[in-house]
Amino acid sequence: MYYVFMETFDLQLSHILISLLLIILCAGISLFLGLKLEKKILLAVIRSTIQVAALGYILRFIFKHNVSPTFFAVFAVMLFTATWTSIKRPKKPYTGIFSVSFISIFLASAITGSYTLFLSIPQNPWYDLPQAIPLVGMILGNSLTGVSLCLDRFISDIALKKEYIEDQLAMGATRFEVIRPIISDAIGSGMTPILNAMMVSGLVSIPGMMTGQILAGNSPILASKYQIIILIMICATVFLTCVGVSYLSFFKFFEKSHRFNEKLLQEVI
Amino acid sequence: MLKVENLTKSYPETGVLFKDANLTLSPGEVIFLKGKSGSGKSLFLKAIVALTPVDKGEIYFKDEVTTGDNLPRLRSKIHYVSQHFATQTGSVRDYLTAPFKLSIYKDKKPNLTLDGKFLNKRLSLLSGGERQMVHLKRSLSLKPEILLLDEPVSAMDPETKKQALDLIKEFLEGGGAVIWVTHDPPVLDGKVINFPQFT
Repeated sequence: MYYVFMETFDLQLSHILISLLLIILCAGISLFLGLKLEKKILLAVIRSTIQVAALGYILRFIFKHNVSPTFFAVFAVMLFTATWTSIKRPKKPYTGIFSVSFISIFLASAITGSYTLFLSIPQNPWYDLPQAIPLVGMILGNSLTGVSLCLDRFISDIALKKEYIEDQLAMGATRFEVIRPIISDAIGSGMTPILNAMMVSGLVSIPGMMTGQILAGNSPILASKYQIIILIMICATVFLTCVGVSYLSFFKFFEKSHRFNEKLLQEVI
Repeated sequence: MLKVENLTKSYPETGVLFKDANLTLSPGEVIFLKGKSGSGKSLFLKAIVALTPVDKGEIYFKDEVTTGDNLPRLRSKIHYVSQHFATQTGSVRDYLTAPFKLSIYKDKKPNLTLDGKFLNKRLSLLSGGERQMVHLKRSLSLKPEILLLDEPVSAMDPETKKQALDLIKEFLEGGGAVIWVTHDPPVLDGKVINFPQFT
């Protein structure tokens, strides 16, 4: 059942400007305390304002062309951007990190995205852009965070534990034995944000999609159903992406002879 | 027991480290490798157990070529003992028992013949010499047939060094063999190779 839960009103430019006053206050505090964070804060606000404003107009344009090729084009742009952003975090990226991240995010989001659009929240047509784009966007956004944290942990652990790993290999450990705890920690690190969010969702915060739906006037019950499905899909995507990115990195860093790929190791130590 | 044939390794940055290295090691034998720091002696030991790739050459252990999937089993027989102590966390007991969690040693049990107080000591509190002793004891407890020792007693005091030498002699008397990288004069009877001159 659909009903208007609360009356919404059209936001004006003045409302956005009023919100910005708070950021100017934060920048002022940073300047006063010598934290040197004012530039970062302002840049982030300017970027997000321009990006989100542009997004509103772009989505309005895209939704007018509600056909499957539009969906694939938007998905491709989001996929490349997510991959590009995900590999920025590791301080010492290695050769081939883009393809590792791209393949992992693509496969995981293709699996869970299809699952969502065809089974969990079926659309008619399946690519119905006003529904499909935000859903896939949430999946990709969360998987990029997971990949970013997972890769960062994996690379730093390999560099930090290089001698320990080699000691294990020298005793006769297989490459699979030595990497298991490192992959476990890396996946755990990548999943921390979504697991934390799931543990407190509904207790400390109202999750983003649910908030949006409630603000848009939808029933909180319907919004919660959507949110549960989305959280499950995000959790599965982040897990699959982190598994993919960890094991693909592992096969790059370790040779069949149960030893390091020296060339790649040198890039991260 | 161990035969190294034409082992060659180079890096684009450093050039050739060792070329056409040939070596034969028999049960009970010790071979000392002496040479300048950074000349590639440690890499030579690692190359024997394929922990580092080589340009060319073959390694035979009991007439079996040491490549492919048999490497973990081979490394449990030919044990490379790095000069680096690999971990700082946990106790001496943890360090000595950890390898027995690996699938290759699942049927073996650790030899914890050190006194209980020492076994419970934190690794971070050990001196350089104590670390080397623990490192050596762990390797011997894994019952290898060949030890590739990389400066194994360099940080030990005379008394600890004597204990370590007794352990190595016992290992040799039991049919084991050793290749020993050192900067000091040889402490046991054995062949000396001025690395990288193998002839």
